[in-house]
Amino acid sequence: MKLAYLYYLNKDDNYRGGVLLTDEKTKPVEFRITSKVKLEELQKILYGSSLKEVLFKEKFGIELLSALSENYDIVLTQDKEILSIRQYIGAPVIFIRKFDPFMPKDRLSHKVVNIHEKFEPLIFTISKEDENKLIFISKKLNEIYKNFDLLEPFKRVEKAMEYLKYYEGK
Amino acid sequence: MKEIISEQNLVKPLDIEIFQLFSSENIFEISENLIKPLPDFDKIGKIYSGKNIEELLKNDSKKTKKEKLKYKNLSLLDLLKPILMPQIDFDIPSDLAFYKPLFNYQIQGIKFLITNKSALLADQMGTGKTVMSTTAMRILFIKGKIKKALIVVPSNLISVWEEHLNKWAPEIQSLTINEEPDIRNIMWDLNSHVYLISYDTLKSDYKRKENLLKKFREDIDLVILDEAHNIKNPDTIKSKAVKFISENSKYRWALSGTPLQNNLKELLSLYEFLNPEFKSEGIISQDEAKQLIQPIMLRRLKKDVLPELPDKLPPEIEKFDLNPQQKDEYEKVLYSEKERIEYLIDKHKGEKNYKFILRQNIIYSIQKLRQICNFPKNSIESPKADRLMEMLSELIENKEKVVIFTNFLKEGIEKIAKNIKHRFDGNIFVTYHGKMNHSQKKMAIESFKNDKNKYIFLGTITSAGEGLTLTEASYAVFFDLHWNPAKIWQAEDRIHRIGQKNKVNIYNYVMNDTIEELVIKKLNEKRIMIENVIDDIEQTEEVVSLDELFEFLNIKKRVEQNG
Repeated sequence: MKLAYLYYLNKDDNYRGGVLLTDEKTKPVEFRITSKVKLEELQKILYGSSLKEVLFKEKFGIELLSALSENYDIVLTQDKEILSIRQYIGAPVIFIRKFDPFMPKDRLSHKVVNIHEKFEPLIFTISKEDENKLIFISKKLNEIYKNFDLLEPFKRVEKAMEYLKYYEGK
Repeated sequence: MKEIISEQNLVKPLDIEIFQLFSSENIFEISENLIKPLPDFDKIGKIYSGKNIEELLKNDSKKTKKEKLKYKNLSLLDLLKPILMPQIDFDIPSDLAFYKPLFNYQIQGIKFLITNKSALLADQMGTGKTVMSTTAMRILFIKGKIKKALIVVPSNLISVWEEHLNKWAPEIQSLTINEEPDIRNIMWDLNSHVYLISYDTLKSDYKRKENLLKKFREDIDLVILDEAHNIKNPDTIKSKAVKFISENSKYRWALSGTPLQNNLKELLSLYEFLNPEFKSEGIISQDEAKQLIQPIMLRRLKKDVLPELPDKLPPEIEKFDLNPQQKDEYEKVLYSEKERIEYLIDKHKGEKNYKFILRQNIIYSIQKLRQICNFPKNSIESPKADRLMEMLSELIENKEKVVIFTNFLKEGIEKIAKNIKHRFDGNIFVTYHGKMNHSQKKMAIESFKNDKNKYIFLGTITSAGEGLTLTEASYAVFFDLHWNPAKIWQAEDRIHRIGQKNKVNIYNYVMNDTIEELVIKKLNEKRIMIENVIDDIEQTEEVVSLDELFEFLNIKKRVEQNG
């Protein structure tokens, strides 16, 4: 099973997206990153609230995923709104974050725990299209979660982006 | 009313470019597409081939032909590769993260280094300080805590470090700064994760091009000093060069098997490297100095970690450059011996005992060359001897016994003995060779085994290689290698057998760009074959073929021409 970690960063109006494809041991298989996008003030005004939709989903999300030369089985994101890219791609999208006990229960979400208590409990949310696959996918991800932190690869992408920024600034 | 006309569509498309860092086929290699121009970046990976380097040197007065040189200047994307690797977790199966499973004491050592920005790893020789520091450095790169590291080592350990970096830190790209000065000027400016340099080269560049080093040190994150006692004297240029280049470094690690605790000046010099803010205020006592260093020092003795060590540790190969006198002699002898052999080829071609004659003569030539690799004529000084004395000093300080093997009496045993007498007390060693009678040999063995002050057993492989039990020693140094690799392996195996109680560390000394280098290469190629015939000396004589002996003298073509 290959996991596509889709991530984007917005710092000081500089936008950048990245996708890290890993195997079940979270070892990197492929990594693609977009160039830095600096929006003009006028662009931001004219795109308005649709900016996120256009930039993060259509541009970063879909284009990054379709640029992958390797197949992916699941897309993982930390942004709930990205779930809607499911309609444009051929694999389930999972919104993943740390479990919060005060979170309302929801039929599209499922909690997983690390049996060794090495990592904090997580909660997965799936898009409506894949509702019937939620348990199956959760089980698969839970298997991985026994040994590997499923959230950690996002940090790698973030660090990679910061690393690029550091050198671009030199 | 003024009309507003816009000629262009103000809703500009959000153009982005996507580029690939690596594909799954070989994720730990740098894929070619990384060097494609990336418009958004200033620094683009570039291959500096021999031609490029020559072009860059055009303005320099000294032009050097460096056709074989090829360095990759890492792109930004190459540089960030370690960050994309999974975090190293000591609890996950070791095959994921490490070249070989680490021992528990090594894991402790790695954790000690990671958690100490200033650290002195003073474990005893042979416990794997290089493995520990390489792995700790790799972890920091993967965590994104460091971006650039410098490793300073004695020149003979460059190849050891290169091998360790290759095996133990596969995601990290390293660059060895060991070319001629003109090329080094360029190398200091190339992008890399790790820069490997010898103390002498660093000293030379500090004297020659301080500005280059000043620029280089601006963004350095980690400096590792191997055999850190090299900076024990704060007044030397070597020490000053090290302290200069590491001025801005966030992490500073010193590796040394010599405790240094008994010499205040040495200790303080090292401490100044580890803690640059330290300013010695007046005279401090030995105890105060120890108190300073204690919190940042980790020292384990081999006997403490013995149960964890495997029965058979692979030999460590240390490589040296010939000194000028040796180089001169070596080249002259090589030239004359090649001419002699070529003459013999022509003279005896087609004769019945052609192969036998050539074999004997080539062996004679090889012997001559090997002796020069040990010492130049009429001198007891050589890089091998210097290193051996350094090693002995460390071992004796740790009250460890050591066996030294050589193939030669005059250019081995005798000159090594003179060095030992010159450097240490003459009573600390015994010799063992074919010119001694039975009772002398017996006395030498007994003395080495029973006298706690006899630290060194110095013997020839042929005499001492069989039937001896030297379990008192857990270190063995092969001062030179036999032209027949089988003999080396045979002797090593014997040491391992006789050293079952103690786990033996073996060190092989090899001279760069000499016949010894070819021998060690052959030795690795033939390892399996030799192991199969190790107990049969008669067969092992034939392990190296005539063609291979020719190869040692680099006259292969001539042989082929003569069938």
